[in-house]
Amino acid sequence: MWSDRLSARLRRLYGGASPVPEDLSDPPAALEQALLREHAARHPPTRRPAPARPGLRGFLAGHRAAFAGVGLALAAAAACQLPSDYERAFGSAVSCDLSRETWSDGQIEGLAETLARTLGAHGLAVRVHDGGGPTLALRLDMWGVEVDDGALLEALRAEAPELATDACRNEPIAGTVHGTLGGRLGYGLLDLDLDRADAAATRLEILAELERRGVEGGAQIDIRDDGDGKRAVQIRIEAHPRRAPR
Amino acid sequence: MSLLAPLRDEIQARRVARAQAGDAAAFRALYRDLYPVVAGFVGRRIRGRADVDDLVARVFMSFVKHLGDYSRDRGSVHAWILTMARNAIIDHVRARRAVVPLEAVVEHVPGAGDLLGELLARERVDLLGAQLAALPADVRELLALRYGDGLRHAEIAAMLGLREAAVKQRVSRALRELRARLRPDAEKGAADCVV
Repeated sequence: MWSDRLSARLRRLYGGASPVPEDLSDPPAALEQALLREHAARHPPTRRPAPARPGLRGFLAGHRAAFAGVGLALAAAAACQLPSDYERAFGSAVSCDLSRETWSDGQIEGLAETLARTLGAHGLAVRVHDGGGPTLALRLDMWGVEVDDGALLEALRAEAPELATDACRNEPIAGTVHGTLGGRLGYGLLDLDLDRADAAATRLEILAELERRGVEGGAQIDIRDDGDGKRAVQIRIEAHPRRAPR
Repeated sequence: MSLLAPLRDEIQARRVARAQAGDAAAFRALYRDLYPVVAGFVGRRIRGRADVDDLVARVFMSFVKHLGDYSRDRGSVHAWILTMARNAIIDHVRARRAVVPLEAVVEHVPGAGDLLGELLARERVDLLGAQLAALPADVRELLALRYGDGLRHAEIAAMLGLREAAVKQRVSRALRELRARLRPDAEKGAADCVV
């Protein structure tokens, strides 16, 4: 596209017109020391708590467009309590190899708590395996974290730039739920990007899923915008076992 | 929408809060995080390594001096420190000239003046460079912040004291104008290739 080409040419033009020397990206230690002295003089450590952090709620409110696109309310009728197994993700796990000499227990705990808070984890489990070698094996299980892999590793590197790029890897925390058809449908719907135009298609998908499960039923979808970037989607599913032909 | 910039902003805002409470490690992390950003911003606009180092040091001294004034309603830490860098560059240019017309100052801040002179010298044959030169200095500054420094519309707005919507509108209008100016030549170039 022409507009994309124009943006690319502008980036090349401005970037190439005045390249920045590579060594400008290395923070000078002398300046760091001078700044730390100035910082210590102006902001001595206090026992007062730091200014209140907005937490996940504040972060989400500040980035509604990114995070609060869809609020999903699922109302399932009693007939939806049909047994059904399904796979679902519960969070993300990060594993890192940490240098024994560099990382103390306190630093590891601080990193884990900060990362979990930044990513909005509902729960955190920290495990450190000491095999006696030069590195410690760290595993963080962050429950309820639903950011993509790139964002997760980026957040980790932002908190701990000293970690080597290839020292960490992440994987989803997933498992099989022995649940109900209603739960399965509800979980599947969380992945849908719903808008008014999609309501009819979503209804057909739900009906097709019910058909595949051997149940008869219907789905009613109601989408409401509050005008403030939030959208509420209410889906009511009514299903009951298919009656055998007489 | 990329989550990385909001994550970066969130992490930096929390570090400022900790640094305001006297956490030296948080301040050190902020310095190491922001130094390449500020040095790149200044280095793209000012010639002479000594001047660049001096300006960057002044920006960070101003940063630590005003650290207690920062709050989230000022925008991202990223945009906040780049506003200090921009002001330092303007002061630097003013100090170097006995009488500095406003236009000349603007010519030395993001996207104009030295930078444009260099890019025009190097890209004299590039039609885009020539068309850029015809744009007003404030528009060139917007394009340089957007495409040279890679700033988001909201960050540019915070730096220049404009509304985000106004920045989007001006950048969009400038691109539309550039596209209109370039299209006939591009089409002509394409036609010339037909044998």
